[in-house]
Amino acid sequence: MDNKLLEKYWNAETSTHEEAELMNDMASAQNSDAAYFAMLAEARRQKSSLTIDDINANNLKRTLNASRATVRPIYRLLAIAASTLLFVTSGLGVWKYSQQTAQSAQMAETFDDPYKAYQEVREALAFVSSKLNKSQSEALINIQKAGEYADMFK
Amino acid sequence: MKSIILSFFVILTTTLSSFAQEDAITKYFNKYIDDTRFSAVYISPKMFNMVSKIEIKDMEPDVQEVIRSIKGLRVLHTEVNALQFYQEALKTINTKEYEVLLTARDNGENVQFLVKSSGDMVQELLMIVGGDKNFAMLSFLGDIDLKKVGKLAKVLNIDNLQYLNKIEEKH
Repeated sequence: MDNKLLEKYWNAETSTHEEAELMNDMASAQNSDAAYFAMLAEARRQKSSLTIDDINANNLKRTLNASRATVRPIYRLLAIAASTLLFVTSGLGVWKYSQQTAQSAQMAETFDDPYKAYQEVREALAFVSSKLNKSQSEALINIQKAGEYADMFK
Repeated sequence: MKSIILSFFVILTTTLSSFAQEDAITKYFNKYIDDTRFSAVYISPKMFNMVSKIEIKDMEPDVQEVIRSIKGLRVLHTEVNALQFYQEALKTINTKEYEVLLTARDNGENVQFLVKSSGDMVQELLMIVGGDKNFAMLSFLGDIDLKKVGKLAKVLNIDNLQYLNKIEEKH
């Protein structure tokens, strides 16, 4: 092994030819420098075996990973929002149902006897019906009066 | 992505607003049902179901038909601070839910008919009467045909002007 050549290599003064010669010498050597040159030779061998398709596939994989990294947290947030919405609406639904139950419980039935209830409904209907008819008549009279006033200004 | 987020907000807003709309009239009835100044009547859907099944002699077919379409009746009446309660009731009504059908003055009393409807069907007929002496609120629930209700005044031979006084005496 040429120590001068090795020193020249570490000083970055070797030519391509000298570097190839040094790597060839180091292939049979057994020291720490030889391990370095073996690793370098293996890296070069692997790099030279890569095709353009491998590089493109690798680039595509990187792009996909990068896009996944940005999209994932948004979907996670949406999932949390949807769960919260479901939870809140369910809670409100239960609350509203309990409120309605409480309200209907507050309003106690006035009559136990359906005949008495019937009499009450009958009278209430007569009252409402009478008021409805009177209000309708009054509304018609007002419409007629409005028509007469409109005629006065023609 | 923006549309998904927007959809979420729309769903959230719609859901919350629908829950926020409470039945104001029910709240109003519940508020005063135990108040000693008021007389109240409540006839439940269950009782209406029983009424429609019982056999009553001389029950007019028109009345029977209307009763079968009603599912609930609530009446609230007072002679104390009548005008004040009338105004309070009007403020309570959710104008998005109820539509004013008729407004009139009858014997010095304000009368308002309001309806809660879905399509052509009236689901609730609400009558509010307010004057110096009387405040009354009647709510009929069901599938109500206003024309048929209007015809009942002729069919039912009842001194209906005394109805509110009768409620006061009975309850």
